[in-house]
Amino acid sequence: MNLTASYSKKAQLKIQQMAFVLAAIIIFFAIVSILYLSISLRGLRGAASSLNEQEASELVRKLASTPEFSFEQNDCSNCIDLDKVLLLKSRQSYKEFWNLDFLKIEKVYPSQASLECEKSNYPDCSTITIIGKEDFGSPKSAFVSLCRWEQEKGGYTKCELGVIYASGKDIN
Amino acid sequence: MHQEKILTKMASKKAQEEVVGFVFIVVIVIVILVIFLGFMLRQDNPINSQESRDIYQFLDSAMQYTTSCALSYEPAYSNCISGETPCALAEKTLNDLIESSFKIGEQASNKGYDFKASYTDKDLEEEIISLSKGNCSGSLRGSELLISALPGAISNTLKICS
Repeated sequence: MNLTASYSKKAQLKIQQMAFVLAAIIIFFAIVSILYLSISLRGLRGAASSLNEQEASELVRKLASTPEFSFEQNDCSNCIDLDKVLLLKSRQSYKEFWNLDFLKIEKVYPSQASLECEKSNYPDCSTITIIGKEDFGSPKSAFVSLCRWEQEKGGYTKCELGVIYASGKDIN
Repeated sequence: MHQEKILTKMASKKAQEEVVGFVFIVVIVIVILVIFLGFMLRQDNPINSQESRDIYQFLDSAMQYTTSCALSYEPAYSNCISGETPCALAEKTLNDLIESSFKIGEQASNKGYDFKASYTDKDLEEEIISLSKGNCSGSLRGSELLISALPGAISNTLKICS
């Protein structure tokens, strides 16, 4: 008695076809998932970078509210006392106080020719550079108000528009 | 022999039909995927929110600016001593502040701006100052600063168009 199993070649072919189709579908959806994840992560990186930029800008602006910079006479958290800052510039002890590589205040309006402030030309100048090391990287900036005591017309507080720039490990 | 040839041809045609059907389904799925990706990629640009923070800081600082009318304004006469009205001077100063801070122009990256200051309370909304310049048909970024003016508030909005 010779027993032999007879296999359906047609059925085997059908199973093979189904296996190939399933493999193709799995590969296809794997490619789609990788594409979707890469696009999502790109958006996430952009959002993270944007948040870092915002945080850095706010850190720079907070410098204006520190006692070394703040203008006490106005109820204003982003007002910088320019008279105080000019005095700070000449004090060597404050060069390492903020742990920064670059710190500069610049008047935006009324606009003037770029001129570094010294005691001889103040307030007819536009820039006070407090810290200016070499290789300070890319500084972050924030709009602030620059206030000072004006002697004319009996004396009054005058505020102008300016920008504070800062660069350092804590900010970048 | 002839019958075998016919059967082989039929089998081959059937296989071709199945392959065509499979390719057709794959093409439809790819088209749907591309449309879906197109909708997904049209999401809000997160950079807009970062630059509007910059505009908020500008508005907050600009509101502290001391104009030439600040010392000489007398409400009884409604004008500054120089003869200008406070509103005219405020408009001129704001325009100068915005143009000094954000380079606005056809050749610049910022094509225009739109500034509005309005007083709102429970029942009233009154426009105080409205300034605009350039073309604002493209993308824009902006921010709003509220100043308390009891019983209402003054809303200052600035939009920069690029």
